[in-house]
Amino acid sequence: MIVKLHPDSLPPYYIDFARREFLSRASMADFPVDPPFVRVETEVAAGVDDSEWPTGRSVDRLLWAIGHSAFGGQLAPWLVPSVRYGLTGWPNFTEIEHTMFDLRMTAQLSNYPLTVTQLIEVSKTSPEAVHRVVNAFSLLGVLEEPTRLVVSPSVIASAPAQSADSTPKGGFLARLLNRWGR
Amino acid sequence: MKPSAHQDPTLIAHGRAVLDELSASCRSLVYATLVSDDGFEVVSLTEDGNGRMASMSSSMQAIAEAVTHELKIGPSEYVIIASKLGHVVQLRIPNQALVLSSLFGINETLGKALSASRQSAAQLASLITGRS
Amino acid sequence: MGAGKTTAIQSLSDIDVVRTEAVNSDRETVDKPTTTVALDYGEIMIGDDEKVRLYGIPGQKRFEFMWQILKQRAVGMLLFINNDGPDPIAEMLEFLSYFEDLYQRGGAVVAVTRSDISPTPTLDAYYSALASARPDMSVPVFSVDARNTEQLKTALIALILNVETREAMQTIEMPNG
Repeated sequence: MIVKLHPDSLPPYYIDFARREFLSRASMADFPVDPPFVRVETEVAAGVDDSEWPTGRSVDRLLWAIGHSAFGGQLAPWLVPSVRYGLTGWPNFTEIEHTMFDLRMTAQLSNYPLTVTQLIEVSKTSPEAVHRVVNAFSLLGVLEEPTRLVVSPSVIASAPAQSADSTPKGGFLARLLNRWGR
Repeated sequence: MKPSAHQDPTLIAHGRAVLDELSASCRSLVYATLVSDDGFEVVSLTEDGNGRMASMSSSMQAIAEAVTHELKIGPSEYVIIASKLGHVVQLRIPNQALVLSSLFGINETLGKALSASRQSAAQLASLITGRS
Repeated sequence: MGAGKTTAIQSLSDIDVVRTEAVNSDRETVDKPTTTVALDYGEIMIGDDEKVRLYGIPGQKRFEFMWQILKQRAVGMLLFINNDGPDPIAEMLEFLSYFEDLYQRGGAVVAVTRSDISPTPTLDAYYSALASARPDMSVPVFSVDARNTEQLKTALIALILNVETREAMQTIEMPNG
């Protein structure tokens, strides 16, 4: 089955979930933030000739972008702020555009499941930034409600800030990122 | 197709002959092994207790050659490890991807151990090139 | 063997890599002309007095003594797995088990190479295997081209972040409740 997404005023995106690839004449840089409408078709899209197009790109890239852009900075309606979430794995960041904040949130949730409320507190940043990355985790299918390790609220309060900006303060990692110009 | 060194019966036979002669000429010899550059044992005089000497010898040879290359002092000629109970003398078989590593008892002088090892290496090189 | 460790260190290193390659006589296992027999050594220069030391060690079992030497000294591990190998997932689990002490002390990231040549197992399959065999481990798994410096940097950053996050939050562990 091919899913066809047709955002307003952009070429369509064709998603083949079986192959986990998507095709589009539009580049990822064109991907809209908060489009006014998106038409979704789930019939096999007739006339798709992928031999004319380059090899399909990983659908995770598209889902990650959609997760960040959708819902206007609010938490996706199927997610609950008071439920603890962890990650079943890391997004494949070697092929997905990402920020240091995305990496930090991934490291946090993959090791220590937290509620969205706790994650906002740990990150010491805007709820919108946390919502966007959690929505993206969810769309990628890596978000889970674990039964293992939880963290005391006192630990949350005293945890070092995981800033939303891309240049963490001090420390070895900061110096390495500075060296690499990231 | 030419067999790998450690699977070449002719080379194994030559190696055994050379190691036997080394053992006969040096009573202080405790252990000797002929190994491929990538750590496979071709032939040994006695069993290496945990089977790691072949790979360790190849690693040592590679590190020694990396050091001499880094220092730009010409190719590594031999490696010696001196310890309380014996000396390991290791050197490349001339022009071959093979290393001879020998353990001599503490009663043997380093000079004699090195000389015997060099002689064995040259002898094996002659046997190999004479064959090919 | 043949997963791209030497290539990866060359891609990351700011210095000429010290290599210890020998002619590969085991072409049946991996058909490449040379193989690492001791270690590859590279450095990432961070400042005048600070550097990241990179050690690439052979993956063949006969060089296990090198694994023992490095695992006592390393602070983290990038485990390169050749997706074109006979059983990449089993290989991953075996190495993670061997280096469990290093994982506990620091961290590990799995870098799956050659997935362009061999698309399976998928990354999901690696995570499923980890969840089943090692639910106690949190190990990122990425697809990586060993020649791609930016991908390698991402993997290394993830490794460091994972280590720092676990260090920072290892204050209290409570049972679920």
